[in-house]
Amino acid sequence: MLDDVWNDIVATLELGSGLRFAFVEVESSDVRTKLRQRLQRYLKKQCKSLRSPSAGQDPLDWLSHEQTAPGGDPPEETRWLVVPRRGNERFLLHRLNEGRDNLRRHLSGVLFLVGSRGILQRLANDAPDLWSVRELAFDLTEARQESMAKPAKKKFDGAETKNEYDVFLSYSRYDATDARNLKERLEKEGLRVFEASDLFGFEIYKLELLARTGYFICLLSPSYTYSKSLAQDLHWIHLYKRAVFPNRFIPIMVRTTTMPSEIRHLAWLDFRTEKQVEANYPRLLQILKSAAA
Amino acid sequence: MTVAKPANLKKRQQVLKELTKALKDEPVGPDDERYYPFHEAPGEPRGIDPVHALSAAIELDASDKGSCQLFSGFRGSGKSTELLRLKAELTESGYEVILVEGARIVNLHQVLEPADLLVSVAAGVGMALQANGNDSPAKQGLVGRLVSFLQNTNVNLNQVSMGASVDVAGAKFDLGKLAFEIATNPTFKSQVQNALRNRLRELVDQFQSFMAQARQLITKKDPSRLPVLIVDDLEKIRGTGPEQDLIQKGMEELFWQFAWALRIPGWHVIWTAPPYLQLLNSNVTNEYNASVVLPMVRVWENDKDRTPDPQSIAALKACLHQRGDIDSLVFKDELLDRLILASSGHLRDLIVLVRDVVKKQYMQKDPTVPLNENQIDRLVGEYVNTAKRAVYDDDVEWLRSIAEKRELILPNQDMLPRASKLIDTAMVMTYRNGSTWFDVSYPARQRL
Repeated sequence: MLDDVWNDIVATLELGSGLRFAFVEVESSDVRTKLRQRLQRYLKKQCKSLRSPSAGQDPLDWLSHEQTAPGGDPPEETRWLVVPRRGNERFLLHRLNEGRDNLRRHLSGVLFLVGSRGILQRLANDAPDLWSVRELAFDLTEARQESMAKPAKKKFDGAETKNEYDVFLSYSRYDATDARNLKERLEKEGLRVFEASDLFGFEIYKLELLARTGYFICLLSPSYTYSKSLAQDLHWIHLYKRAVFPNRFIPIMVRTTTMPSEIRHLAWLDFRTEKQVEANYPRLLQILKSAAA
Repeated sequence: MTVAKPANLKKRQQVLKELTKALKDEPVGPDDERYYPFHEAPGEPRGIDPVHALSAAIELDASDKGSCQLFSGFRGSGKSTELLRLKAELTESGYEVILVEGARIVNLHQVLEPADLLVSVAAGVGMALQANGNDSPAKQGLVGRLVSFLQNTNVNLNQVSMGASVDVAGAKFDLGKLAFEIATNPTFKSQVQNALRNRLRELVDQFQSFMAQARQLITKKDPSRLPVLIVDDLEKIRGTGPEQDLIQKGMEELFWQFAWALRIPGWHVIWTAPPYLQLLNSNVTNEYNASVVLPMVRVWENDKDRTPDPQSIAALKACLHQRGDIDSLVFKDELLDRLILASSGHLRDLIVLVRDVVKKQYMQKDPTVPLNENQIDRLVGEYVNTAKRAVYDDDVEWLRSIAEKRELILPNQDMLPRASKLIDTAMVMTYRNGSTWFDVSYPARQRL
């Protein structure tokens, strides 16, 4: 879960100017500690530190001390403030809300406000001024983790249970018929095919899947070549294959088009007519089966 | 497509850093290269030009009494930006304009009464005059009048008598500090309120004399044109927690019952007012020469299907282009449309969304690769999930009625605090084409 938002956190730390507010909803102290430690490690590499109130220190007093004198140029710092779970939470949110403009004038960097379950909703309603300028808000509670995990599991069930594919078949949705025909034929031969059209964008799981897949086949056509989504797939896969996926690219031309630059150097199979399909299919099968064997 | 070299990647990251800065959330004046003139865009994405409506009331006023107007708008809709344009346009037409930032002179989170508002505004005007020129004897006399009045009340001025300031009867008096104390020191503020509450008429007389003198100082070149005073930020006054109700009632009193005190003879005055004021009391606007509301950019039509408005979408794209190379962030133009529709025409949220796109691209292995459909959909999903948290289960029915009727009707007065919260958190929007209409925002709609 933390991995899902880590990139957003780093981008918030590295980009922007002035004071940025990052709101975190987290229930488990373990998750909170992990996030904090990860932040500390990241900042240490940048020769920076994570500033936070000392034990027992009043958060508002701490923030007040953190603010530099008016007119000064505030240094870029990362701050971590845990919103107390009970009693004082509302009071603190109200005071932070009132002091928003002063904080923005006198502080720079990222201020993480970390609270318990429901803090995001309470921030929106009890601190609307702060909420309106949020740079980042994320939920690390278990409920959120579960809701995030469910669709992911459903989506990737096939990949997770089988663990391995022989073919990763990439195609434009306009060539779905060709893709379906090819898939059916290959499956009849006992090969396991994972199909990916441009209806679904490229995601990191596909790279992971590629590591457990024998061959990458792309059905080339004008709609494939000019699909930005597929071009991006190809771009990433090209970068990836240089490291761990060499010599396992099989471009198949189903309609006449220009070859994408990433695979221009590769030999391709001609499937443009039925006759060419029948002529070249045995060659394709031979390549795939030799690898499977 | 070619694989970018590391140097190119770094260069791109630098470009994205610059773009993030250009997407900073702050009011921009008409001379700023990031400014986009929505009022000139085809299709009137915001209905009539609000600045034109305000300036017309000033320019068409032939009396020597001046005028008093209200300007209102939703949070993050660009009010301050439009006020900067109003100031520039009126200045160009030969008017002397003083723009006072309310956030610097009043406390936006406490009950505002006419007395402390007028003292704060006087201090704000005095500071503006000091900033514009030397401390002439006339100016000292002007401040002296105000100070003498305050000295005759029970207000303890010792705490504002230090610092570089004008000399009043042998004592130093700091206008900036007076405004600062009222804005930040609740004890001093309530002292001022208590001391002046029963002497409001007297204070108003003093205030008006002060403003008359100030007018003489700044309209030397062309006394026939009345000066303009714009007081920004008052629409931001709101309470949180138990005092919210009190503060809202206070604003109603201020702008309705004390509307007479807000008129300054010989001046054209524009007060910014919270959008919930009309919900509280629709009669309020009758007390003013004009009342202008700045709506959101109308990204969809007021029809059942909320048909996207291509001209408004094009205007928002053009607005984004003023900030930098936005096209390089996404694979195809339609993806920008999705961001725009998700923002519901709320400028600040749109800028936040685009900043999120920049962040995503920045963190990619190859930041030269634009975001694809899936990534944009996911980003919009994250935005919706976060934004709609402002809605409680109890709000859903009311929001549903707005979504169906496109009207803003409170079922009862008890609903007001929640209604103003939902307006504040941009869950309820106002648009205009011909007439003004309301709708729930895109994130709120996903909650219904």
